[in-house]
Amino acid sequence: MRTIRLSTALLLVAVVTIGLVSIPQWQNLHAAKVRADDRAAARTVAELEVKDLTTLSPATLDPTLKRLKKRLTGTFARQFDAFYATFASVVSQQKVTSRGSVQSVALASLTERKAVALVAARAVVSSTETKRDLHRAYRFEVTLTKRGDVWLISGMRFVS
Amino acid sequence: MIAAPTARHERVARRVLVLLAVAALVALLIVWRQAHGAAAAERAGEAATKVARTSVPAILSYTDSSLSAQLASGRRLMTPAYAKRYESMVKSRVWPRARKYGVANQVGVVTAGIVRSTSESAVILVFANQTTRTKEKPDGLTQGTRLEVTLRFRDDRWLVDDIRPL
Repeated sequence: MRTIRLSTALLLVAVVTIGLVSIPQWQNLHAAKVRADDRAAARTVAELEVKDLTTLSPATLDPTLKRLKKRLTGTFARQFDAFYATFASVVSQQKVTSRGSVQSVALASLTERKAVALVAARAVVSSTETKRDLHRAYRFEVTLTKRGDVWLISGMRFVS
Repeated sequence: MIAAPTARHERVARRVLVLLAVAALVALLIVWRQAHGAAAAERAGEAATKVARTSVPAILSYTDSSLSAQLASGRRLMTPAYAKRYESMVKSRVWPRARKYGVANQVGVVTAGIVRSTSESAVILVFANQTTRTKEKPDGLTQGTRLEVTLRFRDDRWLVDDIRPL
């Protein structure tokens, strides 16, 4: 019976070894890609929410509030429900119009299921109560929670 | 029954194994580089954030009686290019007013986060509070500011390359 040469056996061992060494590297790369996707998704959700929150007009209020609500979760979503009617009536009665823009979005922290985003935004606000446009600068801290594959907002506050 | 490998079969197998080994090695190097790069960028962002948290107050805080000393210590936290621009700006716009009104400016970072980062540079969003006191108003006025701070990794440390108020 013929046996294989030592060089062939060594080559086989080399291929298997490289394959085994590659596994943790693949896992590291995969984890890094997941984190990069999470970062991008969490930032996007925070940015969209702040943009919608600072861009209001009585004519587009209902679709805007629906979009705002769709991105919320947990206790914060319930708080928004309670606040919804008052908010809508103030915007409608006082004819509040606000044109918002986001200057910068950053991530202060990120874990597998939680993220904290910082959003710097501006808005030009007018209403029946104000005689002229008011220029506002905002600093938001947005807390996000991952539900399944989707990042949703579980908290939001002005940074003082 | 499996036939014993002939010398010809083994030569072919060896060539295939060589090709496989080379391909696997190249793939391993690519994957290692990408994984290493991604991890380095993440660590860089965290390190740059820590530096931004300490450098921003150190650079932007001053009292009218220590403007030169404050500028000299602040310069050590900046890239040479930014130090030049910053010095020119403070000497023309900040110092005259600070001396005239006896201004003291105290900056504290409230929170900070990573906008983007690579192993060589990072942009950090900083929310800071700035208290400005003058001889006439010693209690001061506190305002919130939003800053985008660009940092570069030079000579084994992170240096401020730009501070942009938003």
